[in-house]
Amino acid sequence: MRRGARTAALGAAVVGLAAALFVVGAAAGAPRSPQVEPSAPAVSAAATDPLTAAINDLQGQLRESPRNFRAWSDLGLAYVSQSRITADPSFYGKAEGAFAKSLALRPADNDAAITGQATLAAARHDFAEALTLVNAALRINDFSATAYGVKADALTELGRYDQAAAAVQRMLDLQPGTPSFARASYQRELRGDVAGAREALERAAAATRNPGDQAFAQFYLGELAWNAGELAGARAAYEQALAQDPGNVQALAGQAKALAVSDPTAALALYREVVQAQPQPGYLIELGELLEATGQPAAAQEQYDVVRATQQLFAASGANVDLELALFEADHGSAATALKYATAAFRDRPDAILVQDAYAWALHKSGRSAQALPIARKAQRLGTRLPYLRFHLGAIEAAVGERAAAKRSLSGALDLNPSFSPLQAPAARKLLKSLG
Amino acid sequence: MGTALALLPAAPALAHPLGNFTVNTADQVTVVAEGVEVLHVIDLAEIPTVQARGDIRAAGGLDGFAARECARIAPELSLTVDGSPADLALRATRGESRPGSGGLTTTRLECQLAASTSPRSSLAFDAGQGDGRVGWKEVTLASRCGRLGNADVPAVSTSALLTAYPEDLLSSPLDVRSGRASYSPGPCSSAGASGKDPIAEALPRGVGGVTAFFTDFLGRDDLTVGFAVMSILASLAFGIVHALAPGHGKTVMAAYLIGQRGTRRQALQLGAIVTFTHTASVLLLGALLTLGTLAAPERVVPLTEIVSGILLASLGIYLLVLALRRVRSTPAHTHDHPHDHTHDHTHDHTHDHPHPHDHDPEPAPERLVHSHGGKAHSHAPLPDGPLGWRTLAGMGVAGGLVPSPSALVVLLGATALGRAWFGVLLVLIYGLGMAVTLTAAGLLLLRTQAVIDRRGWALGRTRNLGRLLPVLTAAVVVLVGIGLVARGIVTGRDLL
Repeated sequence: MRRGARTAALGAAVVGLAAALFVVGAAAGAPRSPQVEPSAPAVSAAATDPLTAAINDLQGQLRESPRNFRAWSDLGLAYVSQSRITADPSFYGKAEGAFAKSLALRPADNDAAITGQATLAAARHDFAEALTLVNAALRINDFSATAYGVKADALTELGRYDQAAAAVQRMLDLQPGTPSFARASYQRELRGDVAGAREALERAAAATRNPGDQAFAQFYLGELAWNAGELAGARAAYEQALAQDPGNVQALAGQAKALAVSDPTAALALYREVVQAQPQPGYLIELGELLEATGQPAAAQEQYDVVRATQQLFAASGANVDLELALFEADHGSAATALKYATAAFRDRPDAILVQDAYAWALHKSGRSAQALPIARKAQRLGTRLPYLRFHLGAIEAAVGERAAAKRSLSGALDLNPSFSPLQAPAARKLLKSLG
Repeated sequence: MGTALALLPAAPALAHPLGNFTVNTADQVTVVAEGVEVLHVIDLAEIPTVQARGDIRAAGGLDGFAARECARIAPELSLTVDGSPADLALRATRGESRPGSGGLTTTRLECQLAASTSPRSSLAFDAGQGDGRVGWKEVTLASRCGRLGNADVPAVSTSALLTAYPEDLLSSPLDVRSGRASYSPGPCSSAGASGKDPIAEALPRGVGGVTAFFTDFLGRDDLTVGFAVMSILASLAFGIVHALAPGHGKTVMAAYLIGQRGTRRQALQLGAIVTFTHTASVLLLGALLTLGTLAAPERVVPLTEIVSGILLASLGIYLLVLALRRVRSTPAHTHDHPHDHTHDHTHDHTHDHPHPHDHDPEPAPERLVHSHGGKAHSHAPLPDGPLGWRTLAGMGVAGGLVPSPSALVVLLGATALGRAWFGVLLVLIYGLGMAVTLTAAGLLLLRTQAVIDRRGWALGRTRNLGRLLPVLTAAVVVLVGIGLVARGIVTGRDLL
């Protein structure tokens, strides 16, 4: 009897933790900005973080009852989140094993495991596969908010924005909460509705008591403010995120980014802390660019070398190379390599605006600006208010001699945020000046 | 289910087993005659290694980098002896590069520290909070002088000091940064030797995976019924598999001999002897190691190998002589039945046998076929007599004498966790598992032999083969014995 009670208590704890995990994992599924890779941000790397605790609990439970197919799929989801936190593809293998285990134990009607596999496919940037899988899961259970979240993410990444919005709406109807509000916010942001995006994120923050999830929402409020050039607002939001979740690396990186405008030296120190804790390509590139902008090209190269090592590991493990690495190659490496990566991504999902932007930028850097122009314009079709998208378009327009359009795009980028990047903002200003 | 999972071999390492981002550390704290030694090991995965490139260059290479890093970390490590902080001095450092995934490398740094304070009642160690990087963090406490009690960390590294991380789907990186134990002084097991784990010393290399699994298993807080049953089944399985592992040629050989000319009961007896000898051997060595009374633990396993080899070689020679004599004495007739009853021929096999058996040199088969209890059978035409009791015992002892390293680790692990009784049980079960394999192999061969016999009557050649087989088998036994002795001597000499 006591044992039964204990098992029940453990079960309840696991379900609770799994739910918490889902908030984190699901919300993280939506890439918010190409500068910072989607990752489960709500959880810091500290020993006592809820994700590690949840994983330990699930593992413990599975050691006692290894035939619990639900626990296996929950564990798989937790491993996916773990991978996202560390941006390290080697955890994906374990997640895959856990989902396979769950499906082997219960081959029929196991929608949770299939949804898990879809999440994994999305995390590996195989969005077409993710969509196929999640549709299969939804055929089993049409009432899973989790599955609709994954579906929304996959559709968004594939550039099917209307369908993505519908999936988010369905998710909101099924389960209004932090994961669904965060996704709604991203849909609005993509369409240039900054006020709406902000409102949705505020609701996302209000809908949770988990400090990690609150920090997540605060961080993205900071990003919205940053992309709108509200430096003070951005700083305050990043502060707030750190207050909720001390040591949150993502918020720390946000702070460094905002600090770079006024105090590059302090920002560099902060960035060093960030890449020490989590050497993710996005952070390394930001640090490298700030080093370059402050006249330290050799130190910048060291950071870029680490990015290249990550690229090597990705290639070795068969994971898709990220768009951010295509942009990295275009800006700091070889235009040919950048074009190779971007072409592959463009072949897979030609309708996604961030893919179109990266492809156009790689074409432009390879001297094919005329070919790049219509693609870069398509990338603006939703009216997304991201400074660097406008900068890319402006540079391409300038290269093909469309001076008026170029001036409009470049000043548009600087109007959004005059210091959107330590290297690109000055470049935009210089180009604008040369156009007269 | 869980056992099957854990038994799967580790996949070839494509990436750092704990992730390409991790910085992993292990602290091995050992009480020695001169005081307390701490070995702090750092394992940098691929990305941190790339990040450290600049620092490595600046430090003039890996050794310089190791010296710098160790000096930086040393103040963060705190050792408390009998309740007051002890001064840890950095003694030696070492850096090493190892191949990683994607054509990159990983880095291993070792910092050796020592304190000259000898504990009287307690010992505590804290590795500090580190720099917040994700990774495996492990602390072990062991003693070569006196005994540790109530330790909250194991004595043996679960990851073999960051070289063999557990790889199953349910493993999570350890995150242990401190450890404490009570201490009672005692004689030193290996005076003057430095910085090495006596238990690790006693074991051959490559015990990693199984050991890690077991100690991880035993380290769990809740010893539930399900868990206990699973451990027992796992022990049984490990024993079964272990008996099949290379190095157990001798035991399989014994089973084969039984299959050749033994009986069912003898197969079971062999199993029993192996279990008994193995359990006794592991328990004895375990007790000696735990009490720290062993002068040179690293020589124990080679020594048992030599003894077991000599035993085996002598048995082989005896069997060879016997078999050769029979080949000569039974020129043409072979007609062997599977024997299902015991013969109590007792042979004094350490000496020469001027007159081994009372078999008629040229028997007339018809005359020897008789019956007791209604079953007609033949006695004399056997190419070789049934195994003697002492031969059998010798085989069993030889098979069980060399303590299985993993069984030893399980026992010591359980003892360190204050569950010695459970360790003993698991070791017993482990031996039983070995016995199951041997007995099963014996019975299987017994059966096969019966089938061959039935079919082989018509074939002249099998008859000759059947006659020569015991000679060959005996010869192989001799060779295996000599091989074991040689291996024991070579390994033993390396350690002298």
